[in-house]
Amino acid sequence: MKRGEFLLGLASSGALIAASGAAGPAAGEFAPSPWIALEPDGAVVLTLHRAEMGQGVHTALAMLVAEELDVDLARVRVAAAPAHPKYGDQDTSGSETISANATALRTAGATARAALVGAAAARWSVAPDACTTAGGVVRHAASGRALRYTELLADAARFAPSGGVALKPKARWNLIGRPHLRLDSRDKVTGRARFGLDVRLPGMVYASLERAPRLGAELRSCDAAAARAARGVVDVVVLDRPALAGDPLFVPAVAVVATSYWAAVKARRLLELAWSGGPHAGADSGAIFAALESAARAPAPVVLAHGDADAALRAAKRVVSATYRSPLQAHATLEPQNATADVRADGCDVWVPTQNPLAVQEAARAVTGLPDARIVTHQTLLGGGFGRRADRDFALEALVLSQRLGRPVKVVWSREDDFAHDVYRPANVNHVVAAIDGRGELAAVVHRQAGVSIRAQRGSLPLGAPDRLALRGATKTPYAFAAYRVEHHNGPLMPVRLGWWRGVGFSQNTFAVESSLDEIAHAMGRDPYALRRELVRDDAVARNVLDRVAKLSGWGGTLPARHGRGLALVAFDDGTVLAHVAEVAVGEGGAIEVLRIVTSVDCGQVVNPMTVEAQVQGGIAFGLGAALRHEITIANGQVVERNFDRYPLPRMSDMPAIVVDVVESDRPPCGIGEPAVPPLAPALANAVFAATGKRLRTLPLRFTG
Amino acid sequence: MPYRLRVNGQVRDGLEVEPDTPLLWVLRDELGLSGTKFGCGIAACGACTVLLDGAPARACVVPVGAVGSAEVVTVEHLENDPLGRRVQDAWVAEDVPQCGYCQSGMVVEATALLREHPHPTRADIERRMNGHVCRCGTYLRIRAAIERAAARA
Repeated sequence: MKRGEFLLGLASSGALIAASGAAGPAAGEFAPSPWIALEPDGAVVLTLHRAEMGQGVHTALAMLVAEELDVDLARVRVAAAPAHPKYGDQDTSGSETISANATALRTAGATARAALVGAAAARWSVAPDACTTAGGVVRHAASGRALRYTELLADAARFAPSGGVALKPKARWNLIGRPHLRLDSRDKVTGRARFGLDVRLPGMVYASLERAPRLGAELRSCDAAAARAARGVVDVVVLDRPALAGDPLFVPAVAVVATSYWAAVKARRLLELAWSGGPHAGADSGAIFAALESAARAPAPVVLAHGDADAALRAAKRVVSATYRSPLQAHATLEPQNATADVRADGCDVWVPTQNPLAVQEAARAVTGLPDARIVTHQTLLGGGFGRRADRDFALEALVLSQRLGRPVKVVWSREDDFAHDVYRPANVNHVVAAIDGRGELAAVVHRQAGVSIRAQRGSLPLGAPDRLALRGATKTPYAFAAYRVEHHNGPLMPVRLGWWRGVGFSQNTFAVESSLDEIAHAMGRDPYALRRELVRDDAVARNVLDRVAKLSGWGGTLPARHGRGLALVAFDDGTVLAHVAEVAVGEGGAIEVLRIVTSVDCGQVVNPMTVEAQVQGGIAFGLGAALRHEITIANGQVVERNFDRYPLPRMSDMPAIVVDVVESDRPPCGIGEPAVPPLAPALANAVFAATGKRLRTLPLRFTG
Repeated sequence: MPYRLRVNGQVRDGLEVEPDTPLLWVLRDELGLSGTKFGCGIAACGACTVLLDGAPARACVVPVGAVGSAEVVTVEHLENDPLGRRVQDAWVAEDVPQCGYCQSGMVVEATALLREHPHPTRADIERRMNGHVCRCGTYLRIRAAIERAAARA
């Protein structure tokens, strides 16, 4: 198998090798930008620099280019870009792929088109403005002449426009905003799609790693004699701190390297290791939450304040106060973490299903000491990301092992490794206090989050200093509270690594914001929709989304006994506003059945409506697991849930009916990868309250006793 | 001892693996058939589903020594089967895959389901597909794709 084949997310043609950062343009092609190469055979090769992990961005980004370039999408082949600064930011996170790249990619397409038009116009001695383009052909209507782009490739580079190019007005769009099937589905249903785990190299060996059982535990002794003697074992390597270049996510490990994954797994069981207890030997979830709850009740550093919340609370006729708990969550990407590295004396290739290729490139530089020109970080397809693959710990393991062994090494995490050594969504306790004044109006809200932030846990922010990133969803809400204060108790350190998880910050804070607003509404004797409607009076987008979801869901209509509707809204910082109305039925024994979710969303200009619908459906499924079932618990300093038996993902029969209503919007595009997740849990909790009168404030939502 | 397997209509012999090696890793690492995915290793997610003599099996828990003369069919072979092809076409038409990692197992299972029940009820579909997980949450489109494929029988 040729190494170049791993570049191919979607197609299989040698032409794509030219798209790698290591090679220049192929003979006869026209490559006007890092992303676009027109091939002599008519193929349009797009080398895209954002990770495809299910969000459909390879298709959406291709649509943006093809719209302006006026080529048939069927002729487009997509390749995943290797790490290279020429692409700019390659970090796929924060639901921002489209918003951050739409203009650049449309401009690249329009620039390429202008060059092709210029070449045709010169050949015909006509004005470029007299030419039109469609389907990869330039036409001059007045003379009836036409040239295919493929006939212009040799000249086009000379006609690159010197100034800016105009983008197509919306009225002339053929692709943007219209539903389009994903370009990669066929490869994903035939087994042809290549994920990180599918990388195979000649002479490659496989590594399975026994990592320290607790954060901070050190290896005391290692008897690897039996493992070394096992069939297929090539080496046993201790990875200690210096080996992993002082990476903040470093976990000491003993790697068993063998000629097959299974041989490595079996030999790993023969290791006789002794680890120190480390600083978290006695840690357990009960004590962690007890500490967070007491922290949440004491004043903490202020992140944001307007109005005099304390005065309003002193003068309040009624105070509503509630505490919400969000546990650690795992990412559980279906493709376990993995990476394949080939470190040689004169160069390094590393294949990683990563959300952040430039971070992997940096790790490769640190491990090998090689210059960037000799390192290629290849991006594969990702079998899910959800933030887990923004980190690079698994890539670092492969790089270090390949360097030690002097041959290609594939590191494969088992599912148990993946659950036990995730970078978990932080656990938080959020305490909300609201003042209702003598006129029955909401006078103030104080929102306090207790829990160490990701950055503080990793040492990049001091403990105790408030971290705005951890307060997303609380600091900026669409609600015009008369007085509002947000506080953050940033600590204590957790006994596990923490990381970015779909809807960073929002997933915990929105649960508290939207549950408490429901509680406040009921305390005021107000309808939860009507109260929100009033509080978003200054925000036309949020008002519209609320009105649409209320109407579509039949808000206020009667329901059978023990059925209820719950509403929750989220406004992401980039502009997306999304609201769910959940309809649930609660059995006499407390079983929560989710019957229907109605969602309205305004995410600005939509590129591919089919993807937006898919992201909302998928976000609801993801949110259902987190809201109703999932928690990572710690006992004796170790993660208890190690596989899908203890962390049961939703299955087909768990899915409610889903109605997705997407607002037609001319605002610039904003994100859709995350926003459906955070409001799902509070919509369900609010629906459970409507059905039963019982308020559930702890995730996952459960009736106990 | 070297194993001999019947995979996708071919005999593959000389497989030097331990008898307890799961079929999954023989397919992936020895035969290069990487369409069959590793998800959990305990038959809890369905990503590794293959057909053994036509019946879906979780290749992560089937030791190669237990396969014997059974005919193994993987996702790579479905295109050669009119029903498998119809299922794949329906998946594309319903725009099912997101990350796509679970979908190999899903289409193999759906093909077996439709072979047994050409016109499955929703309950039939859920019963069978509930053995599979999709972390991206594509279930509603999977169900629609199965119904589409069944409607074209």
